[in-house]
Amino acid sequence: MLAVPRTSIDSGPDVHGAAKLRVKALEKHYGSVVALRPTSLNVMQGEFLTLLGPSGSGKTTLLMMIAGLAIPDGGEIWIDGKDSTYAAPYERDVGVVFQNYALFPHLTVYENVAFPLRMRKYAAADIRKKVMRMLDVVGLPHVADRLPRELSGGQQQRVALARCAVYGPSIILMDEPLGALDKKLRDTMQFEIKRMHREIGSTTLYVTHDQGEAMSMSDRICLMNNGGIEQLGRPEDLYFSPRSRFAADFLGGTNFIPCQILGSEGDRLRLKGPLDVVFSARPPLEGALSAGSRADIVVRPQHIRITKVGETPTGSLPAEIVDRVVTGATTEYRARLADGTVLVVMELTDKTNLRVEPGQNVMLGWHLDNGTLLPTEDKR
Amino acid sequence: MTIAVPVRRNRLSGGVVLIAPAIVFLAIFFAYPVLSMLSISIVDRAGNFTLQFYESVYASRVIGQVLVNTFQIAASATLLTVVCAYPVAYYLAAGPQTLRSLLLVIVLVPFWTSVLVRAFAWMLILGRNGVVNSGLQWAGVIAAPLDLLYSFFSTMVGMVHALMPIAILTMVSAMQNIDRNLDSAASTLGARRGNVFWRIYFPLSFPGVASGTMITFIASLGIFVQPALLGGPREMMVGQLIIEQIDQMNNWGLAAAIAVSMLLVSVVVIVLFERILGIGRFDGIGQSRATAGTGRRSTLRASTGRAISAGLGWATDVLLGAGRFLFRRKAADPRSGPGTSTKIATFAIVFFLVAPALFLIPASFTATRFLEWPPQGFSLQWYEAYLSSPVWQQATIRSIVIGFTTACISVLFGVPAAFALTRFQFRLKGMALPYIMLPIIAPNIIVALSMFYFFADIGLVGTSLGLIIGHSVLAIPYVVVTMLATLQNYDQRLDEAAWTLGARRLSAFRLVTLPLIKVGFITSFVFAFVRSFDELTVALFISSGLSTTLPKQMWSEAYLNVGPTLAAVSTILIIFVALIIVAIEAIRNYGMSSLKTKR
Ligand SMILES: Nc1ncnc2c1ncn2[C@@H]1O[C@H](COP(=O)(O)OP(=O)(O)OP(=O)(O)O)[C@@H](O)[C@H]1O
Ligand SMILES: [Mg+2]
Repeated sequence: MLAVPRTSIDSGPDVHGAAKLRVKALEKHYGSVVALRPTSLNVMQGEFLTLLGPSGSGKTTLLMMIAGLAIPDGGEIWIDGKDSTYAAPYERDVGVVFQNYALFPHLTVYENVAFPLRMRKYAAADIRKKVMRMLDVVGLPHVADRLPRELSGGQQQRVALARCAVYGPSIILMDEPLGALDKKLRDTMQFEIKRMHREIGSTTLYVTHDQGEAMSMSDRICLMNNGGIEQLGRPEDLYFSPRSRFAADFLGGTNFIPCQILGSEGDRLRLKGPLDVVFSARPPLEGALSAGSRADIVVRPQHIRITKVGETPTGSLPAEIVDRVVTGATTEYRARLADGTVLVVMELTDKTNLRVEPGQNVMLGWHLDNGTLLPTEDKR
Repeated sequence: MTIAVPVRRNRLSGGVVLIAPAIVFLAIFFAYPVLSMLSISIVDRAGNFTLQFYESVYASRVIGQVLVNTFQIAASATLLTVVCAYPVAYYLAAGPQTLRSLLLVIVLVPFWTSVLVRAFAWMLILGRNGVVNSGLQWAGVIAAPLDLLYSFFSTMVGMVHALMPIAILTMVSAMQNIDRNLDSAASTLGARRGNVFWRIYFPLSFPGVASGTMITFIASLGIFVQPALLGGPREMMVGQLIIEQIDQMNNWGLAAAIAVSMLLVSVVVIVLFERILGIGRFDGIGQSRATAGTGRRSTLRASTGRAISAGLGWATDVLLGAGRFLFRRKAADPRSGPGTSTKIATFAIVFFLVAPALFLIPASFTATRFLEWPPQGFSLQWYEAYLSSPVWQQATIRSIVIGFTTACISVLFGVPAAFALTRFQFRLKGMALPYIMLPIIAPNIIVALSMFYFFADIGLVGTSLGLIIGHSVLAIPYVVVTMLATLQNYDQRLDEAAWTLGARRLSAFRLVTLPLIKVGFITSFVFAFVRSFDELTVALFISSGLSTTLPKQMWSEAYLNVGPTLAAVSTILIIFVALIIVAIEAIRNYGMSSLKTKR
């Protein structure tokens, strides 16, 4: 694995000599639609960066401009310290794996993979060696003479990967490459993509709106929303320290418990939650919260414990279980507080906890380290 | 997402650059001539405004009668054509895959066979010594030959025969987009076959029927070959009248006034048609597009449509049920598309389309000097006559050269236009396609008349260049439509993929785009060629005595004598067109298989 330097989005471009790709204030409009607000981003040599975000958040737009397939309305793209904002796609040393594969239907698998090498005028023997090696890597040497339409979806996907990787582009862009595959194939392919990334070491930008995929594959995740970057960081940073309600909700789903700050208590903040129960929680990553201001405690469903009334220490909330769904390995509860707030609680499915029935009154609690504070946002 | 040209700040849209040549070409050689021709109907010789030509149109009983005739004949022919074309189109769109492509070729042969050849065929079949009369006499049904030719009946037969292929093709293209799963869905919901057809398929196919009707009606208004060759004086149509005014009276103002009147009346008819039936709004389809103001009327229309559909559906089911009861047959699978009756109707109609021309082949080998049935003896003298006549030879060569040049020019203008329409965004894009289609939507005779008027001014009448330009105006729309169909199926990401893999724009076009659109490209070239090779109307006006084309020479010959020479020429043309179509099919198939076997 390559070492991955951690940078924030806005760090000055000249400080980081190793930045493979630098995007500065890049923007794009389609008529009155803002597809991408001015966005800046640095990607390090060999990094695997995932663009994650809901539909229409500008992921494809950003990717296509980096590939040179769309013209930005403003801003700059620097590749290897060279201004490539308006360079033609074939001048960028960028490989793209398209969502629908875009294999050439009139060429065999072999010819498809050989195409970029022929464009680069490699010698015939060289081409043969490289193509066959690449087909070996993706495990498809036996289909070299078939046409794309004679392959299964997963095989086509692997050919697309091979075609992109065979000429060793220094940046690989993938736009939801696994979007069309079933769950099982996705898992295998995720693994293969990671393996190829390790072997080839290309800087990779990967688009997905599957948060599980993003968490498991990425060195860093760039969370996008509304045509801009919402948060950029390591998967665990995004998971444990979301900077916004959106980030907290998009990664893993979560509970927001409204509360009011009372004051500080060591490195924690004391606060008053629903039903005037008093808690303490970690302060937010950025922005100080003064006494009296409103905030939300963010607690993941799996961090909430259900206990019997009377059994629990202070800092627990009384609630009534209103619904219980066994989803398989986990069981989801909905619990309503007396003031109407509904919290989602997740536990591992287990014979013993089936005793918690809808209608039952319980106490809800969590380890204080698992609660993060977010300043209350103005309603959007 | 749409692909922008990766060139630094290219503000002039690539689309405009690609489509401008076609737009300008048609503006100069189509739009301007038509407009100026229309204007001479209100200008006298001195150049002053006048309504005298319109006064004579309305004063003249003859012209009035011809106009009335024209609309009666056109309306009857359209109705008959559409009714007969529907089952064939239905079968082609929804029938079993195996027969479809064969059937399509069979429908295409008459489409590309010269209208003249097809009119000659009916003269042979319906004439006093023709196929029908001699057959009936031989069978002893009649004693003396019937007068079938030069009547309303023969005109109608000839026109339906001429119009049907275009009606079928228009309807098929609309029907192919109907989702066949809807039929399955309806049948799982409990609908039987009759209901599935009338409540689901028919309403969905109605937009296709409506546009088929329109196109047929407009084409039939301007038709003049069939009424002239197959009809009597009472079947005279506007087209003949216009030609007469120019040819014999040299009365341009009056001819233009007649043409304008005809255009106006057809626009009125089309608007009425749209108002009453509502193109594409039958049974509520496309209601979302209906504006608020017309809401109530379209709901009324929709519910009327639905009631009719429902009634027809139940009636069909009752009939089918009774039939099954009588013949003790199992109920057919409601999803299986066209049934036996459709199949029989389809084959009967396809026979009607194809068979007539085939009678010309034996008739061309006759030893006598008349076109008659059955042919007497065997001789090749009529082929010798054709092959040894310098007039025929030159006409043939000229037609081939003009056809080839026309095809090159049309492709040059049409293919970039099709690229612009599929791949680029530019202002007023929505209006570009209807504009390009106008030359084949407007009645042919009006297009030809306008060009004649314009070309006379700039000295192009009687020149090959004039003919080539005229034919290109008519062929460009065909090229654009064919290429549009090809390009719409083409996945643009393939080009983008090629660029990111290191191909420059030109190599990407050569190595990826071109091989994939090759078949569409060749097809559109051939369409343009055949369109010019067969064209009569423009040639009639623009080619002068010495430099005639093959169709024009056939037309002149037909005025002298419809004899075995024409049968021989027709035979050669039939074989020629059949060869071209087979070649296209072969290229298509080769195109497909070469995709498979490469490397
Ligand atoms: N060619 C276009 N014309 C007009 N608007 C566009 C075009 N392409 C994208 N947009 C708009 O730009 C915004 C961002 O689109 P983009 O394709 O980048 O989203 P995305 O994050 O890739 O979404 P998805 O996950 O659905 O692929 C959307 O609002 C979209 O409607
Ligand atoms: Mg996208």
